Formats: sequence, C-alpha cells, structure tokens
Amino acid sequence: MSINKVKDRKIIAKKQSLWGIIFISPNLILFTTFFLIPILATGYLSFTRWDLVNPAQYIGIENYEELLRDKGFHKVFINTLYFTLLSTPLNVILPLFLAMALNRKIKGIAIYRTAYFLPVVSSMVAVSLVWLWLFNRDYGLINAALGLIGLPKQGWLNDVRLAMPSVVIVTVWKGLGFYMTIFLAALQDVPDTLIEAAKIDGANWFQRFFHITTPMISPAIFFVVVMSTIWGFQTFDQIYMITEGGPLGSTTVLVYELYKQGFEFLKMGKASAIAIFLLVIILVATLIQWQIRKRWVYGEF
Amino acid sequence: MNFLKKVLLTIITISVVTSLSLTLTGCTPAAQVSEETTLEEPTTTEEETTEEVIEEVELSYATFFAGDTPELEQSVVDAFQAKYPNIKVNLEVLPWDGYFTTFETRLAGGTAPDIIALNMENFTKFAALGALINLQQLIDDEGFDTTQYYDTSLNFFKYEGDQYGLPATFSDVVLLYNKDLFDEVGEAYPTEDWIIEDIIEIGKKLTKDTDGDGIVDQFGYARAWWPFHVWPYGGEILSEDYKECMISKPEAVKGLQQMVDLWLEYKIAPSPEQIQTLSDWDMWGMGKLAMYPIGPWAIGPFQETEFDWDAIVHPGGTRKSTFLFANSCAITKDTEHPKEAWELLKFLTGSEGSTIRQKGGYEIAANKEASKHFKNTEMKPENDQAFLDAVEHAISLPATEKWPEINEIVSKNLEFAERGEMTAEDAMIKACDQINEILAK
Repeated sequence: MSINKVKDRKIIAKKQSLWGIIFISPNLILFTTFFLIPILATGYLSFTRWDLVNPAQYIGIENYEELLRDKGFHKVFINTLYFTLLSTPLNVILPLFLAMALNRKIKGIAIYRTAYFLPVVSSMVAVSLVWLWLFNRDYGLINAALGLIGLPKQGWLNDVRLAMPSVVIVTVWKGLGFYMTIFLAALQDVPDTLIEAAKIDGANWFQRFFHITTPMISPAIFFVVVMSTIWGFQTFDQIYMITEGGPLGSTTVLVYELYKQGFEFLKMGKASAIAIFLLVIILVATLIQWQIRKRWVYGEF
Repeated sequence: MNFLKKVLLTIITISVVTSLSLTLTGCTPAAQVSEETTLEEPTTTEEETTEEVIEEVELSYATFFAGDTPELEQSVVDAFQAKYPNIKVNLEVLPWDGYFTTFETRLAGGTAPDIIALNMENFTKFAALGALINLQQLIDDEGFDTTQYYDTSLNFFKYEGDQYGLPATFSDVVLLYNKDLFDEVGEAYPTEDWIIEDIIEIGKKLTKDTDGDGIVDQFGYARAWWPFHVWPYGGEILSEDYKECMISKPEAVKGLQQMVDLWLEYKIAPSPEQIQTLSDWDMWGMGKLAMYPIGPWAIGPFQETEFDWDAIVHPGGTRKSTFLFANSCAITKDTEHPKEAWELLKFLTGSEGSTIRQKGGYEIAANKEASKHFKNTEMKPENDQAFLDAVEHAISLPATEKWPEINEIVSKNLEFAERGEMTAEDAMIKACDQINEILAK
C-alpha cells in the first residue's frame, strides 16, 4: 500500500503542475509574444542599422558609441533625470497629504476620492490638450489667475526654465489619485492602538507622523518611489502632446528622442539602442532603490 | 469536481482570458482619422493571366491631397472607376500629420497601399529605400508620353535617372493680401515692384490691437517656412554638389535674420509662440492677417471668406524667389497588381484626373493640358496668374534623402535665433557644423 501511496502522490503532483501550466499559459504566451520577444528583438536591433524597409545590417556597437559621444543625447538623459527627480518627491508628498486629509469619515468622502481618481483614468492625450490651453500665455486660465492676484504672466511652455516644470505639474496632477489610493490603503493599515498609545505618551502631530505613521507606511512609500521613478523615465505622451521636446530641446526625454530617431529619421537601430539604454538605467535605479529598501523600509525583513 | 468539469472550466477560462487579452492588447488607436480607413490588404479574386478576361481587381490608394475636402480626390477616383469598371479603388485621404510615418510603418508591416501620394521632400527618401516600383520600364515599353508633364515636375520624381513617380500637382508660394485691411488704412495694394522692405514698412501700419485688450491680434505679415527666407538675397541651402552647407554665408543669414526680426524687431508678424495659439492659416481665414505667403492649396478653402483678397508674385530682396513644391503618385513595390495600378497612376496624373482635382481648388496640375484650365474667372483670386508667373522664380529644395535630418538641425538651431537668444548667423554656423558632418557620411 505504501508504494502505491508514493506513486499516487507523484501522479497527483504531476497532474497539479500540469494544471498549473495550463492556467498560466495564456498569460505566459502573451507575455512572451508581446514583451519577451520584442525586448530580445530590440536588443538585437540595437546592434544593427535598420530603416524599416530594407534588411537590417549588423554594425556592432556603433549605435552605442554614437549615443555616448553625442552631447545632445547627454542633454536628453539629463532632462529625463530632471523630470524624474522633480516629479517623484511630488508624487510622494502631495498624494500622501491628500490621503491623510481623506482618511476620515466625512460625508461624501467617496465623491472626493472618485474625483481625485478621475484624472488617473483619463487619457493622457486629452489631459495634455486641456493643460496646453491652461498654460497658454495670452489666453490660458493659469496666467489669468496670476493676473487676478497681481502676479506677472509667465511663459510656461515657451519658457526654457518653466517648460519641464509645467510638464511635471501635469504629470503629478494626473497621478495624484492613483498614488493617493495607495497611501490611503496603507494609512488604514496603521493600527489605531499605536496612535492612541503615542497620544497618551504625549507625542505631538509631527512626532506621531514621523516616528509612527511614516515607518508603518514605508512599504507604500517605497512602492510609490519605485513606480514613479520607472514611469518617470518612461515619460512620452505628455511631452509629445504638450511641448514636442521643446523649447530648445529642454523637454526632450529619452523615449521622445527614441521616437524621433526611429520614426522620423528611420534609424531603428539607434532607437533600439536608446531603448536598451533606458532598460539598463531603470534597472540600475531600481536595484539601488532595492538596496535602500533594506535600510529604510520597515516590516518586510 | 470531477474530471469533465475541470476540463470544461479550463477550456472556458483559457478561451475567455485569451480572447480578452488579445482584443485588449491588439487594440491600437487608429493613427489616422479618415473617412474610409482600410488597413486590410487588398483582396483579390482568382486572376487569369490573359488580358481578354475581365477580372475584378481591388486597389488601395492613399493620399493627402485636399485633406480638408476628401470628396475631391474621391471624385477623381470615381471618374477612373467609371472608365475601368473592373477595377475597384479603395481611397484613403489621410491627414498630413504623421502621413509619412504611417506610410513607413505600413511598408514595414506589409500593408502599404498599392498607390501612394508622395511630396517632393519625402520622395527621394522612399525611392532610396526601395519602397517604390521603377516605372521607367513601363514607360519605355508602352511608349508612354511623358512630355504631357512639365519637365521640372517630372525630374523631381526621378531617382538615379529612372522615373519612379508621376507628377500630379505642383505649387509655389505667392503673396496673398487682404484687400479690406489695406483699404481700411488707405494703403495701395502690393505690386510687382514691391520688395521685402516694402512688406515690412506697410506691414507696420497693418499690425494693430483691434479690440483694445492690450494684445496685438491683427498682423501685417506672417513668416513662411525657413528655406523661403534663405533665398531672397542670393542665399542657398546647400552647395550644388550637396557637399557643403551654405546657410551660414552672409546672403543666407541676411534673409534668416530678417525673418526672425519680423517679430523680434519690426513686430509685424506673430511669433512662433503666438502661432501655436492661433495659426497663420486660421488668422488669415479670420481676416486678421494682411499679407500671407502661401500656395494654391489655399484657393479652395478660402473662397468663402468675409473679406476680399487677391494674389501677387511674392516680393523679393535682391532677387525674387519662391518654393516649387510638387506632389506625385507612385506605385509601392509590394503591389499585387502592377498593371492595374499603372492604369490608375496614369489616370490620376493624366489630363482628365488632374483637371478634376485642379478644378476643386487643390494646387496646379503638373499635366500641361490640365494646367491650362487653372485660371478660373469664377474663383478668387482674380490674379491667379500670379501662381503661374511665380514658377519662373522658383527654387527647389535639395533632393537628398538626408533632407529630413538637415531640416531638423536647421529648425532646432533656428529656434535660438527665433527667441532672440542668438543671432541668425551664430545659430546657422552651429547648424552648418552639424550638417557638414552629415553630408560627409
């Protein structure tokens, strides 16, 4: 009997792993077809010269050499870094305070939460068009509002110093609801008893916030920082719709440059090299953040 | 649950998930909004090789001609189908924005239309890519008469000596002027003797703030595309052998500096920033632009303006100069019906097809016979002869596949001058450095 039991268990295990494979196969097939293979293809293409119509020619690391030598590309990288470093802290602080403000039982709280989430599910293209008009120097609402309180009109999208911050504003505005929801959930997991105990011990709001709340929601903060960084590096839609990389190339970011090289100049090889470069950068940034996690994020190790 | 239930559940789950994911991930937003977007390959029925049997053939034809009024090109296609009932033509009139990018992608994906309309600027690029069929053989075998087209327009669509496209339309840029605005300030209309300095002087009187809100909303003039401003004082873009960048030379710089000074110094034209709010095209249509350098594609759309307008050959500097643009139709290399596509091509660019298109107010026919009907007493402008006269002074853009890159470099560097942060000279010196690098490759 015991021999049969072992055999039975083996058969059951095999059956179960078979079912497992069957159930993940749709996702696996889609992942392979639409993610894995294109990434590998891009990797290969980055070592070629390809104009979409004629066969790709292998040229070794020439594309990478060109990119590293090109001062314009350095600027593009700096712009992308600037965007990410400007937007990420805002993506943490603003939604966090918003979440704290909405973390209570006010009447109609659901309406507020929904309202803040609406931009998240709106099309970035539509959002960009609206903000394009808001930022308009002569007829936009923002300058009109500034005028009402006696401040001078700003050039916004045409001002070399203000263009990138303008795009950051749009991006942060749009992501507010999403990150807020993450923080809301995290805040609700902070045990009331801890807060109560701290209050009894005489801790004021700042102390409670920095010594209890923040550590307890640090996994969520970590998540927001990582996602905001990754998405920051991948920004394209807003740039394409609002500033087209200008003025004077101050808002040209990596993916936008990739688009121009690949689809306007038909340099698919170079565009692929930019894509691989982006992949490496994001990987490095995420690894760095992962190391930081061990030191700063509580409750997970 | 028992085995059968498990199997059923699995099959259902897999099919639902797969079909859902495939539809969601397979959905790409249509890059173009056209009346009849068909991205399918032209379908065909069984073909016999003898010419006697009439087979039903479907061709696809994509174009940007008269994008605002797609029914115009449709009427050309209808006339073709009346003559050739066995050939069905699927027409796509695509918007200008992204037109060539779309074509590139479709070429790569194998879904390119049989016939494609190409402008001069992009023609060399696609011919060099090997995306088009060499028409020379067809022309020679048939003894097709190419003298029915204007020589210059024919030559634009040759590559390495052979004909790769047939010219459909050509256009140049003249000066349109708003007669009402001139009457308002009591100024005489522009004449053939005018030079650019006259435009600037009179333009100042025509630029004003009409509604008193502190923002200038009526302008005397608007800039044209940068090459237009390179030529008036004898400047050139590239040397004749395309080996040297000539834009940083004094003659070219003078014209470009004058261009940016239109809004920086003289303040008679909207700045690039202001054009983003309200384009010169719209300004003209609204009667807020007194003088407008533009081509014959503006004839149709602006017939119904509230103001009266006319045209004149554009004033020059030390010489008159203007663009010569031309559009062609060509057959793409992967077409399954080259013979039928050739018939369509001949019709689209022939006397009959071109006349229909020209009558609708879209550019001038490159077909000599059809262009005779260009002058139209019923349509504005009265002086449509200006468009034909201007051809004499026309200069064509460099016909090199490196043109998109050259254009990008100049535009990027010119932006500094446009914002007054650099002189045109310094900006173009920088541009030439980069351009010479590219030309050397």
